[in-house]
Amino acid sequence: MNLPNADFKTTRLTKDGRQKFDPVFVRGGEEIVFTVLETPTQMSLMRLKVADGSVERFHPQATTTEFEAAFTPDGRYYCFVQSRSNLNLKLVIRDTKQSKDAIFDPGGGFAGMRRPTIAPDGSRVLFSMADAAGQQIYSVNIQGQDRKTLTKSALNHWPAYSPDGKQIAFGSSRDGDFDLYVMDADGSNVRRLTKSPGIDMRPAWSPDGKRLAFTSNRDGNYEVYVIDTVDLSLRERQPLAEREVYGANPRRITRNAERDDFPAWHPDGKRLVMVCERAGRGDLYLCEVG
Amino acid sequence: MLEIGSFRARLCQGMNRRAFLKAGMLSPFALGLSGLPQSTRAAEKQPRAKSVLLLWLWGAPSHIDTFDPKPNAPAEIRGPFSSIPTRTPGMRFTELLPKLAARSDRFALIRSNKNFHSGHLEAGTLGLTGAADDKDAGLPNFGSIVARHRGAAGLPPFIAVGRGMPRDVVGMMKGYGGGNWGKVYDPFLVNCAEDGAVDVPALKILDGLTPDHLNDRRRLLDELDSVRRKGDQADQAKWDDTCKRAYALLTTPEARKALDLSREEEKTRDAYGQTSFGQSCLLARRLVEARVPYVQVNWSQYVETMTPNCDFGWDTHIYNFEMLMDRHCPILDRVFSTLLDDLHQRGLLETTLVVVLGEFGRTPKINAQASRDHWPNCYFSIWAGAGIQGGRVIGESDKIGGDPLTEPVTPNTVGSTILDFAGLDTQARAELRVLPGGRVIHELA
Repeated sequence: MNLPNADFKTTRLTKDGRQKFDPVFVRGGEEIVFTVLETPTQMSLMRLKVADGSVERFHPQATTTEFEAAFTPDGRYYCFVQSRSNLNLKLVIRDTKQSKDAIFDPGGGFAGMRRPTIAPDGSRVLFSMADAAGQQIYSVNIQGQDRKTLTKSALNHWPAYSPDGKQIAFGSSRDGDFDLYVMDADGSNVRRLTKSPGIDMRPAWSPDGKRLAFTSNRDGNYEVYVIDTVDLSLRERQPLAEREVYGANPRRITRNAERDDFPAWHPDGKRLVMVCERAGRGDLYLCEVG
Repeated sequence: MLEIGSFRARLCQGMNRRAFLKAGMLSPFALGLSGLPQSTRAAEKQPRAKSVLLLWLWGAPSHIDTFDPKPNAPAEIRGPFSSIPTRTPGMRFTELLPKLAARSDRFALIRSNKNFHSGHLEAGTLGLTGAADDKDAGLPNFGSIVARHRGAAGLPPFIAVGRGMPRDVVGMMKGYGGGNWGKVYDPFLVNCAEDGAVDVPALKILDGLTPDHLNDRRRLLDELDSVRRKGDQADQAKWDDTCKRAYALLTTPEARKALDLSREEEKTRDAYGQTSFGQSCLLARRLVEARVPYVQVNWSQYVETMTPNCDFGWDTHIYNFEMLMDRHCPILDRVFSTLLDDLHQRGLLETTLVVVLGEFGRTPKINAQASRDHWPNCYFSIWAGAGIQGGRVIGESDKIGGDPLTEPVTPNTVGSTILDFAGLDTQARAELRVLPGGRVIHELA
């Protein structure tokens, strides 16, 4: 079996080989919720118990495509995208304590949001959604209301709250292709994290906030990388016009001719779960990156 | 893993009336056994392409985000993807297609396709029949024409691989089959799942049938007779004429072999990848190997990219870039690259015409949903095999991918060229009264 990288110990977590996306650790790392192409016409959220490898539907009664789940650390709230009608996606914010859903509806017609994520304190939800100027990062409160726009132009995507909730990492095409940036939680003070040819996407903060895992095709195909963000707290903040790159010390975590993507940190900050394509099969792998 | 019909269907008590009637219309099965007479001209002339393999990218991929990037256009045209060099000097693709970029010497790329309708169902019909407008919706599919010209010598001469005939949430696309020529020229539809399981959707009429039944033809036919007696008398003749032949066809060693992906080496199946499109293309290669004259692999049954109960077509009105990055392009890049390698290594590429295209392109200007809408004025097609010289771009689009700068390659031209490769020259097409005046893309020679 090809492993993501001989430099890192890797464990294969699933074996069915179906197309998978968006894994995220929940319950202190005991479980992983991810998206799978369950049938030819439906993507579903699944729950993997790391201890025994068992997999079950996260929403047993779901009958339509659901994907991109995100959770608060305490597990009270989670959100996901739901396909409800023709080319129309809605954001579902679920309060597990109150057993209550809040819906953010982008309106009728062709519309939808992607990649929601919840603030660590459960106060707001970020997502990416198109507008006339491109695709922006928005936030709404936990009731799906009070929408605020955090970016203004270009295609902005994959927002991710820092563990302290004060910063947001995201990808943007504002300088040509997709690179990674970070801004304060109110959308101000944007700094560039990466500057490389090709696509840098899906930033994921380490639990201590000092590293970001992300996917990049800078070396020819999709691989997982880690970059340090510690400079953010050391350097004097500069406006984006300076074109300074704040990310440092990028390390390539995977090295395979096939695809490695969708990194997410274990709460211990030492392991990454990711979707790796091996022999044409898509499975979850746990990679110990130290 | 050949499965015939649905073995766990809800039709526990035998035949469902609706399914029975549906089965009774399955006359293309007749092509497989009784066959159609091969035309004299077909017998006289060796076609340049013994088989045609059409990969139909239903829903319409963006040409600018794939094979016709515009790196110097404004951001609202160019999009977020970088372009990368290919093996062919001067030819660039977007970064989403690195494997195909490394194989650009194996195919010719046309960047000046043009359709005449912006609706999927209409443009799809034009794209697969060569009709000039949607008033000619009764024209036969290119595959139906090849089937009629070649006749049958075992397996059905026109096989469609996919979950169902192409459609959108509104309705069926008319140009999927025989059109006014009748259902006898419709494609024989087989479905291939991501794990390589093959089944024939139209035969999902009986409960209790298992693949083992195919090994006992007499028992199978006895059971079919039993089922027939339960059905409507008026439909029995059709049942006899079609379903028996279908099952009999599928019990032939040739058919069983062609449709059974478990006979493939594991590494070959892995190379195509565990996706429905990947395994469908592997099945298509096996059908070509079994000398099926025309195989159409449908990327999806539905055009819609993200709609309940639809199977993720290329119609990316929303989240165009995400869908292309995350799913569509990685799959196409892997599968088509593997198919080209596989055909080449088996010596099949020289005698197989491979064509890849959708019904149209997508808007040069990014829309208000940060995506792209329908654009029939300009799109791409890929042509490989059958002696086509690879590593060439034929036709050119303007600086924003809005219109062809060179003579447009219309559906009529596409069809005429496919048929010419398949052995239907101008006279043969005239005799069948198809694609009158059609221009052949001689630059592909």
